[in-house]
Amino acid sequence: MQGFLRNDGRKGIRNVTLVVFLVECAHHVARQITARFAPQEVQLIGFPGCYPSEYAQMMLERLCTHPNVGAVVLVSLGCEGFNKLALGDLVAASGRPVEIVTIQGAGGTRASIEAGVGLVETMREELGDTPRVEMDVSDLVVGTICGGSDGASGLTSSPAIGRAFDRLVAQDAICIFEETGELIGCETHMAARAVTPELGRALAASVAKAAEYYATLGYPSFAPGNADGGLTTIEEKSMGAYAKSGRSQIAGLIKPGDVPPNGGLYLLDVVPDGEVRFGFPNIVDTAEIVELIACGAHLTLFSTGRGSVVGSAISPVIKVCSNSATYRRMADDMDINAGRILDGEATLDDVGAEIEQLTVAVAEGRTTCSEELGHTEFILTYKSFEPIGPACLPTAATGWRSDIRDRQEEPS
Amino acid sequence: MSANPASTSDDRLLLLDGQDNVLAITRAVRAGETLLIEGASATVDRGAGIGFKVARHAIKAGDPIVKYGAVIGVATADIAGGHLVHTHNVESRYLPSTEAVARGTGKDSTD
Repeated sequence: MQGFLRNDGRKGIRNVTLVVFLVECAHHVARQITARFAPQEVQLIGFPGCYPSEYAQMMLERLCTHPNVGAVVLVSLGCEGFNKLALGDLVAASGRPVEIVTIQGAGGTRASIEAGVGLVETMREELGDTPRVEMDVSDLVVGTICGGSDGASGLTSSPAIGRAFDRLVAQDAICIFEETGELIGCETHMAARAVTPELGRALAASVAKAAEYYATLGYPSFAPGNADGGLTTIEEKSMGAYAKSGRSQIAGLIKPGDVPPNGGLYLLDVVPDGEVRFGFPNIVDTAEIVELIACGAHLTLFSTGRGSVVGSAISPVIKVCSNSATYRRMADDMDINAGRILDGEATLDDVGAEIEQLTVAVAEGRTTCSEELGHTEFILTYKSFEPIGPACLPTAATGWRSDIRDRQEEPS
Repeated sequence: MSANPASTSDDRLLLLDGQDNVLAITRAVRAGETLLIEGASATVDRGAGIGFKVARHAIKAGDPIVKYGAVIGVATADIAGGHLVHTHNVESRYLPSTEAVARGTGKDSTD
């Protein structure tokens, strides 16, 4: 496969131009600019809040310098709290074309839309010159999530994604699973898979943090309805989601925005640190996809049973459907039918291999169902995190990224 | 390792991991039905649909229940092969803390 080479050495599988609103008041202008172009080429992201947020600032920095991104137009109202100059400077330093449209200075809505459209047109021409280089599976960062799960998800789509992860990790790709709130009961199993005992304790602690966070919000993990569906214990329920991680050793624990240093399997801790401040850890599946992308994910494997339709800005989403009925009913939206396992037509290993092959094909440029349909969902809200602890990246001796090191705590 | 039940098992049963002592039900089974499990006949004691599970072979009270290659609970009664494995004969052994890991007792018996 061939990738788009970026100045930091990372390689992208897409070459999108982002239009970024820096406060909700600039959303309409940014949307109107984006609407003039094809959704696979120019995409809308942004942060709605007026008050500054370290998390949102960091997230937009990571997203605007993601390897799938070629150019960036920032759209500001003018009086919001977001530090647009710091973001613009950082994107410029990454070698990407970047411009800021400030609505109050540009003369209002109409003038800002026209200015933005002109900037995007110029950038699109420049992007034609982006160097293409050989890219290997070991250059790929792949995330996984589940949403709209059903009784079959834990039997077919999730473990099949786990099989695909095993194959990708064996080729030195970076694979990331997440949602510690759905891993309650898997702590001891997960800790035993960690490359060091210290990392094992950190993994278990991240799940304990999630359990406490959800308890504070008043949402227990195991509901009576789960037993009606055949699930016997909290461990079993969590294992269904955890199965997406496969069987590889766990190389590290990261938080949103941390790009893993080298190939292997990583857990992304998406639950905020400290007291509950901004509500739910993630209000919807898309928030988790966005955090995976901020960790460098080139694409996301999405396990669904009842049938999610979402795609994403920046990085393609591959939908793996747990059952044939949903697959047939929503054929335009589903990339892989893991329901064939229930029908006795395929094994978990067969579907795992199929997911791996499609992952490579999408990296080579094949469009996913959600890309074909123009899905470019995005959401970013207020959260807050402490840096990862010193035990979290024990394998980071080589390829250690400075932006991660800067965020790590010194061992005490 | 193949994750498919041996071809000598009923095609409505799915083995998720070679270490498992339960099989997931992928299409409904009825009470009293005879199922082929890895070459042996077993009688289903309770009807159940997709997402439920039956014992792959005889399980003794106190034995861990293993699914996905991981312990998901402990048997509270002897369970015959083919019998339903659910809340009536299994209980959670989950400790809602990281103490098990911190004490070094967190090794799963299957690892």
